[in-house]
Amino acid sequence: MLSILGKRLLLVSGKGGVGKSACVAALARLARARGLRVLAAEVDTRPVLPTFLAAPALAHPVPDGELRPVEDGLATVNLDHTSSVVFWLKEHLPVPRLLKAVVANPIIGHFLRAAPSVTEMAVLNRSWRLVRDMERGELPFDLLLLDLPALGHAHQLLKVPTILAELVKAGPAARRAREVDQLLRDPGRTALTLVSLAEEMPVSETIQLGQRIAREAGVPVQQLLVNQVTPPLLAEGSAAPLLGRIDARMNGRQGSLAELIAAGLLREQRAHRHREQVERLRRSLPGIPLATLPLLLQDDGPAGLVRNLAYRLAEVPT
Amino acid sequence: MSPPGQPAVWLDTLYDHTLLVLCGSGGVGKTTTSAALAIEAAVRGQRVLVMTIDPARRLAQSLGLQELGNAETPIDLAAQLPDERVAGTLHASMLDTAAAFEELLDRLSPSPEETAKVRRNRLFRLMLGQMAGVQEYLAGEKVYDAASSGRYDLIVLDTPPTRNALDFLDSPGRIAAMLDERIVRWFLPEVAGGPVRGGNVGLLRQLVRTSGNVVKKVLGRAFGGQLMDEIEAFLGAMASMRFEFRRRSQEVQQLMSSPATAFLLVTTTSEAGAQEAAFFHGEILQRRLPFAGFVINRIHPFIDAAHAEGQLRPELVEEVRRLLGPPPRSPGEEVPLVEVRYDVEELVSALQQNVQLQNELAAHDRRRVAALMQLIGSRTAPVLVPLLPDEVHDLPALRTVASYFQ
Repeated sequence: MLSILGKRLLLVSGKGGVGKSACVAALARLARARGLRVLAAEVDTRPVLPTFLAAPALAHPVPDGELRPVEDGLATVNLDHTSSVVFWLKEHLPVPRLLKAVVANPIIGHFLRAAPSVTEMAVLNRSWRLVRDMERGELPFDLLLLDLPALGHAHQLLKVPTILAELVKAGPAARRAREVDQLLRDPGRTALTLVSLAEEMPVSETIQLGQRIAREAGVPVQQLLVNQVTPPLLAEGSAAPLLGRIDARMNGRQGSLAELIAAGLLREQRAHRHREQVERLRRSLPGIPLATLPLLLQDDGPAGLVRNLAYRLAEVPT
Repeated sequence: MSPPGQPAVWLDTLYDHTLLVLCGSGGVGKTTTSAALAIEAAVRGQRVLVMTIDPARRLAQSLGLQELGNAETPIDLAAQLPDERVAGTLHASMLDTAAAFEELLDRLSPSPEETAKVRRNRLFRLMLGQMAGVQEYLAGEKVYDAASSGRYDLIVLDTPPTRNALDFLDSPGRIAAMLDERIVRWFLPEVAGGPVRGGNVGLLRQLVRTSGNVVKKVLGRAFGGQLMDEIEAFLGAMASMRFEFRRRSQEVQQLMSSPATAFLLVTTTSEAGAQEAAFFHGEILQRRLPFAGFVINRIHPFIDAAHAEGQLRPELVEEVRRLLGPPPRSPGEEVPLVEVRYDVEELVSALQQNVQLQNELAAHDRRRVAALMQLIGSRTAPVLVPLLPDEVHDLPALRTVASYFQ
């Protein structure tokens, strides 16, 4: 089993467009299949995990910030900014009248949404509480899977507790920032997984921001997933020299064989480029387990794609 | 590649605008599309600025630059496109958030002392690149400056990779909201006597001060007094600039909704990309922003359908066997290419399967495009840009991308 599934808090990020949320859903499916009870969370977005996990349709919509059951031992939640800030206020303002006055005030709402670090801290606080409640047995889950925003924003988000803990020494925000920081920096309980494509830009960004997140937020990358990798035509040996020879001997002849060969050459080129990028990622972030996932057809819909990805992840040797 | 019988996003119409805004979720090819459209417009004779947020180094290099910065840098297109007649000019710039924010401070601040006060603030340093929407706001700012400079006929804006596609449109409003007069007054009783109309100034000032104290106390309890002190100092430092801030964000908003602006939505056929595109399309319409159409990148091309059958075709095996000739027996023979034994049937079977897979991907992409267009009820056909053999980061590849807009 992927060792990252043994953690309490599994953070997943990646450059935009790499299939990050599909991978989160696949990790959730795999963990569930291995008997873990999984809560899969998104951060302030229009939720896609319920679709990817084929959550049953609801008679009434589940508000942001509340758990949406998918099946026994599997649920999703959208940790949006507003409900996370309200959650924070609830924790710290026990007088209901006071809380109501603050929450109902639209100007305070504007202020809290735009003030630096408040929403970030509120989201991390909510995640921290979910993990704590899980560990205390107050919440019936074993693993919190957190689908973080794309790399740049994830980096900003994960840095907040460290910065805040330095900036502010006293008060509830400072105390909680230190506690969240401790959880994020505990490699036994928390792991960061980065998803990439085997293309130059995503690989470069993964290397750069993976290193920065480890350095500046103290969260080391513990697993790399390279998605949509093109496998070579032949399982053993390279078809490229053979295709090159055929191509040369066809003397520019057109027709269906030429198309077959041209398509094969393109495939080999892409497979070769992908292999090089995977190796570059491996070399640049040494010692971190790396698994590749092939490009899969999406014709069974998003949930089918996720099940397929989960099967592939299950085959990853440990 | 557009479906026949429907108008696509025509370049001629696009280039009638003075600002093209390319939106979409991360990783769908916004930067590449922006560069391709900008180069094409410059070749056609316009004075063009392409503003990008985070280009791959190789994309900067493909424009003939080592790297891009905040400054608008001229690109020598004629030298790089010797076979084309380049009638216009191209400049490029990249938004460096930290540097742009410093520039903005210098410009907005009423005095050097005020600027120094903001810079000293610890929260300000945290805020650089951190506060929600700053990058998006600054992108809008830079566009506004360039658009009002008169130096360009066309500006192509590659929008920041937003966590939420909405951020780009909302951020100016959000920053203005945080510097809302009422909020500033809670934290800064001394500005409470600002531009207040009517007589009873003393009473109002007192009221604001009282409610401000309550707010501060309550928030202090929730977040800690020290953090609130930091935020107060930050707001204090920013307060002197708030009118200018708000005025400029309104100007940026006006520019974005002007008929001389066109929004293009860039997407791919992935599940998440298509969902996001449909959602963002609704938002653009709801805000009455000028929408021009969709660009859908990385469409798998169809290959000759004759190969899409599952059966191994013996005549192909024979032809390939004949073309390959016998495996080389000794080193140095004709084309000394393979050491390994090869199996012609296995090779042809893999080639056929490859075509089958590519065609399935191609069919899938077209179904997705059709579903997306139906979902949003768009009357304009999208521009479909095929998946190109290599990653796009040189000028010839960018010229190829532009050719799909014709």
